[in-house]
Amino acid sequence: MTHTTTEPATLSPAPSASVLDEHARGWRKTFWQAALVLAVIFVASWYVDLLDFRTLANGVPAIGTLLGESLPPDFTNAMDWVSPLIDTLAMSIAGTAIAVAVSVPLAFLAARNTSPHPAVFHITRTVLNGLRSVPELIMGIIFVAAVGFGALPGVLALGLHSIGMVGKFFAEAIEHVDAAPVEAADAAGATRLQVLWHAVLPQVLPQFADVSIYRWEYNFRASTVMGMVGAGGIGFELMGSLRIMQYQEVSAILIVILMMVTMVDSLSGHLRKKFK
Amino acid sequence: MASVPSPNMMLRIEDMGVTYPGNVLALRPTTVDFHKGEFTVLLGLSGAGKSTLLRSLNHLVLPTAGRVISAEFGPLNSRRTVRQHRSRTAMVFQHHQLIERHTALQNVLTGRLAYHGTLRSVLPFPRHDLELALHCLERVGLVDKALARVDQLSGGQQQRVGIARALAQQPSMILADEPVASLDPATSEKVLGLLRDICREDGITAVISLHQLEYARSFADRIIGLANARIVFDAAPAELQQHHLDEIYHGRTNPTPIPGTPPAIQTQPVMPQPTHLEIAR
Repeated sequence: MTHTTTEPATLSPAPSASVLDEHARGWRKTFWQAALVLAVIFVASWYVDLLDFRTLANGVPAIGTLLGESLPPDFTNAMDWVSPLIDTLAMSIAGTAIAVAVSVPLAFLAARNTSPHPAVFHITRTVLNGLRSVPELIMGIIFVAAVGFGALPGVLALGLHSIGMVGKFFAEAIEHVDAAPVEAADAAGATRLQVLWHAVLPQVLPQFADVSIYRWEYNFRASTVMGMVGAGGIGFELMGSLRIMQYQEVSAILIVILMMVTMVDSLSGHLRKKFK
Repeated sequence: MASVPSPNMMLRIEDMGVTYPGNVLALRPTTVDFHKGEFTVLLGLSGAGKSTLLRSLNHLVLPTAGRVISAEFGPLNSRRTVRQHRSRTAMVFQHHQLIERHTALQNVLTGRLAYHGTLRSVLPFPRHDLELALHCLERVGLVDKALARVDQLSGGQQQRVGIARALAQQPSMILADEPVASLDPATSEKVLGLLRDICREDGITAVISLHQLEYARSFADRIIGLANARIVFDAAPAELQQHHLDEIYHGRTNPTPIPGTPPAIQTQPVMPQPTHLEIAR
């Protein structure tokens, strides 16, 4: 076993060869994984005509015309949007409140460490997945059919759909709780519910607040489109202007929505920082 | 095995053993009595079984053989007796196990939970409990930090809050699991001294696991030495001989010392790396 390499002298050749082989194998594996991902992206893009550059090019002038027609934004009816905007804001707040109120108890059932039984855990998780997988627009259509036009179906749709995500995130926060203070409360003779209330809840409150505020921000954006299915708010106005092809008004409404979203976003960012 | 319980017996373990899943023997079946007002130190290396013994005393670790009998509540054989026993048996932990974002006072109040029903404890604690909690903080010298968040306190202060939480239970017994393993030597001595003084004043029975011999010697009324999942010594500190120490501190690594080579006297075992250092704030 004499190798021509003089350094490093302490390395015995057999193990070093196997280590380097292993290293090379790792590199090849990464290469093929990256190649596979790129291939999947390419095929998917081709399948949806993204690589059909002629059609894309033909579309550009149409988009240009549309943009031209929406300029300058027409704010003459701006005062009529105040009340729908308030509707939208109220919808997002009430919807989030419903979601949080239902999610807190569900989350304790859907967290591995606090669920009373594995069966309860699985059923609750399945319910949460189900709620998350029905889009809020579909829920909106169903609730409009059930309770009629207006903000109420929007609130119910936003609330119900949000439970899916809020409940899941709450449950995950509970699962990541520091077990040490929980054990301490247990050792002090606290009952199960006392442990949840006094040792688990205080630890997860910042995350609960964080998720809730983020979800409120999301629900505000989502509630702007809820109007499209007749569930009230600024989206209803947007849809009306689109139908009668008042593109200058459409662009004006979009600008107003953008401003509102920016405001809600910065407010929520500010609140979330406070809860750290 | 089962002797007649002495009148000042507080807690007895009877042929109690613990085997962890995967057939890991943590404690061989053992019978021990703990007596009223006694300050007992469980001495041993990591893995000797002292933590297992200590934590089985309030069923944080469930014995797989034998039983634990409380003088006050009888054998711990139901949720109810375990809860009653725990309400009078406070615990102090190595990593204090406080809620870091709560204030010292809020943490101490956790010790009062067992005195209230589940529904009552959703509401704020009664004034009597608040005053008691403040008094406990006063005894550990932290009344001025009552409203400070625990994560703002130093390691030694956090452990004192842990002791105040234990006191708030108005316990007849305190179990402390390596209470000073994460503290520097000066703070360790202060915390152990505080614990012993309080236990003396209130007549509280204490069982404390430690791995430092010098602390065991200076604080304990009684030392129980563990090695290889069994008790190898159980008497007053004065009776601790070199061959006992060899067994406690070398039992695992060197069960049969080679004749002619006396094992090194290890009066100060290697301290485990502290998981957090006390930083002066």
